[in-house]
Amino acid sequence: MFDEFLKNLSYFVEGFKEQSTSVLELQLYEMENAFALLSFGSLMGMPSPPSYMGMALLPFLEHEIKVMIFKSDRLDDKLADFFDLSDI
Amino acid sequence: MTKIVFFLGKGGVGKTTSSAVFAYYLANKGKSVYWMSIDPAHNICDVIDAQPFKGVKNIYKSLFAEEIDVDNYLKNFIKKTTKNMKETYKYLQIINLDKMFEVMKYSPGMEEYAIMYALKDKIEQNTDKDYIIIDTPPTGLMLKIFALPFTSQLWIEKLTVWRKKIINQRSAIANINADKIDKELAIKEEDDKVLKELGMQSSTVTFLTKMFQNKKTTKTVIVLNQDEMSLNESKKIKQGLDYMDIPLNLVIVNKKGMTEVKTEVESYFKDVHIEEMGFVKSGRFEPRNMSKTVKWTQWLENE
Repeated sequence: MFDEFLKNLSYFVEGFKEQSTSVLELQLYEMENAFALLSFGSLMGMPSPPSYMGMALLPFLEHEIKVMIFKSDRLDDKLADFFDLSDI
Repeated sequence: MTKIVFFLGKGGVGKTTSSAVFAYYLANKGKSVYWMSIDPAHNICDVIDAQPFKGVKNIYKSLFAEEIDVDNYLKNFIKKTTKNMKETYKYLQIINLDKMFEVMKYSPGMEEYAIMYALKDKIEQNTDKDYIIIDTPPTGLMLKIFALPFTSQLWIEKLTVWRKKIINQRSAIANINADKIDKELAIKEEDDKVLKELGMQSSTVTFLTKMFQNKKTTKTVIVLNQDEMSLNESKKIKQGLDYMDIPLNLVIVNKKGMTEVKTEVESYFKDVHIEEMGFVKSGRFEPRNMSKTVKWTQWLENE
């Protein structure tokens, strides 16, 4: 009985944990997207930072580039993004 | 402490010749000198009347000369990046990455970058010399090379701040729920390769900006002729140097007496020491002999 209670309690805690980081994750996602966009300014038509710098960082930014492409992909569907944000 | 002297000016005014005169003068005084040209269109060997050579060459007493192979620096950088790319992105093996990056060589800014790295490299290798004399490319390119470390520094600082924020955020999330962050992503600043790369670049550009602005060890000389065009370009150099807070020490009016044109060198460069070097009307210009008669060399040595 008591074990059962503890088990249920742990699910509760897990659920809270899950929720508590979701906003942070969203923020992180945006930051990673911005970092990739900043590093490869030429993609946006801004030849800055110097192209050599983007080239030197390129091998280490696989994850950020993935995030950037995913984000850019969904740019024309902001409504879906909004629903996702507000958990609807 | 090693003194570093830059010779700047419009193309064809006599930068290489003036730097040669100074280099021979110092060598005759028993100083050890490293004389290099970072101009992609080198002409050290023409001035000293020698066959083209690669690497460092001891050309006179304790005078060492080198024409920097900018292309080689670029190739090395591209090779390193391509290798890193292949290691990280395994699936890229099928694409001909080498060819793709080879084209990057001609992208804007890459040449300046290679020269910037070559400068740092060569100066670090020659800190045992009394003097490092640098013959530079014409104004347009050289001002870009001067500016590159400053603009890069700005970007590196901003990117580092951003990157640290990202790493902090990741570690905060990982603290609460470790599964949420991909195992391959760095959650500590010391593990992050991007920060490491930025740090390495930061050390290069800080070295260069500090060196450029060091009033004690770095001297800059503008060489110009008795004509409006080279004077106008020299004004641009002065503006560029002022903007970057790099001191200007000497202005040399070269080929004096070649024309009768009157220029306003004195009125524009009021706070700068101005010297003249006469036009050699007949015979070959020999920097080694010239170094014994020209007066500005002594002034520059004591500066």
